[in-house]
Amino acid sequence: MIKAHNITLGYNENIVPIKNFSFDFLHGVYYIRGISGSGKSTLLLGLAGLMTPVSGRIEMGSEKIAMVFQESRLVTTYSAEQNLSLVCSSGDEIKDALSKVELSEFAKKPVCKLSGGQARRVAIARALCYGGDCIIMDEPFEGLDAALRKRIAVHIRTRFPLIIIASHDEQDAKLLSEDGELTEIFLDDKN
Amino acid sequence: MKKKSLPFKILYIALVAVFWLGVWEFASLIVDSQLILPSPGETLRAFLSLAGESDFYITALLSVCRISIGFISGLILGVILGVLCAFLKTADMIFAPLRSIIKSTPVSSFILLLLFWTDRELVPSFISMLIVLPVIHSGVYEGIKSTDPLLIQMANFYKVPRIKQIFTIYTESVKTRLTASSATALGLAWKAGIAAEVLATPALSIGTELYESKLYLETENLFAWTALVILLSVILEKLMMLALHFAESRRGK
Repeated sequence: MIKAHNITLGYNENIVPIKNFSFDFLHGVYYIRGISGSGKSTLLLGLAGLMTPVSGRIEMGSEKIAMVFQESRLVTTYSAEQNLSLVCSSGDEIKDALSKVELSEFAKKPVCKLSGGQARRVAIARALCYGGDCIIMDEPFEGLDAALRKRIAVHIRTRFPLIIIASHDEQDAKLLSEDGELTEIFLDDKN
Repeated sequence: MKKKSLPFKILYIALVAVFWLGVWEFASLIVDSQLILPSPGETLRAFLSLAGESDFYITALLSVCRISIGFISGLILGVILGVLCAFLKTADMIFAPLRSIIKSTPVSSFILLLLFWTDRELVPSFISMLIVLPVIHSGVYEGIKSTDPLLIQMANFYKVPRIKQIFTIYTESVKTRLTASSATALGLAWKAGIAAEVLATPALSIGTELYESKLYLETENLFAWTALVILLSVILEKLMMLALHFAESRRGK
């Protein structure tokens, strides 16, 4: 559970993408949509606790939250397996996560030699391996084909009871919900 | 671009070497004085004659040891100080004046001062260390400072312990710079170390031999010892690169 109480998130006085935003993220899939620059990524960073609100507060029900960042944020000289080992100590769990994103055969290949879509899957595998009660994802399926998105989405929705996703494609969010039900949050200029 | 084959590379290097040896020979013919510029042939004869004496190898080995001790000490201290200064602002402020002093003081001043303070046998090692330290420090420091902040944020988010972050994310960022710095530092350590030997004249050292060759006007010996310095410098650099490559491949397993 994550509760946002009237939060304002900004980078400086002039750039304040999120103003007085309140919402309770309890259970299920929450789809954050909005045009480019509407503050989707900023809101996700705020909910993840990576940005301190200028005002308001965020209440976290869980200590353990996984995240798929907008940029994959991988150590490019490391293999997929080594990247996962940074956040997960169990070899079996690493193997399992990589098999879920269908990357077992590339486990030992350096990330810099993987394609953009494969690197994205490593970032998803890292979140799966880390686990937790909630996953926050920013454009997680970029560079992945439709069939693969569907197969990976099944593993994500089985692993995490609370999913918060920002994407330009609503279909991505629907894939994450077992019955296609989701709560939509639209961010406009005024939030 | 098509990669050149090994025989082609060897031929290429040989042609370049022949060209420069030709220039040297030609210059020597024009000067026409062995005292001022001995020919490549005379230098080779002097080199082979020196190589026939057992002291030659002991002298070379002791010089390599002195400079290597200084290089390794500078490397270790440089890494420690680089890490400390990058993570602790206070350490950075404390060591900043020291770095400036080491960087801007002429090597000869250090050599002469060390001759007052320590045993002449230790001067080349100290000088090599002093030359290596700021180069390595700066490589490590810059490497840490240029680490991708998004990766650090990711690691903090996923609660990766600080020590693990240092040995993984920061190390990866430092690695390339440290390799380049080490190669530069080794070359500098070698040059400064030999210069220190020339001024400190420790027993059985290349620097002392260079000094004595100059003193007794044995220019061909001066050239022969200089050729040995160049040869050892190339060998040491190759060995270091091999060691780094080996360490990297072991780490990747």
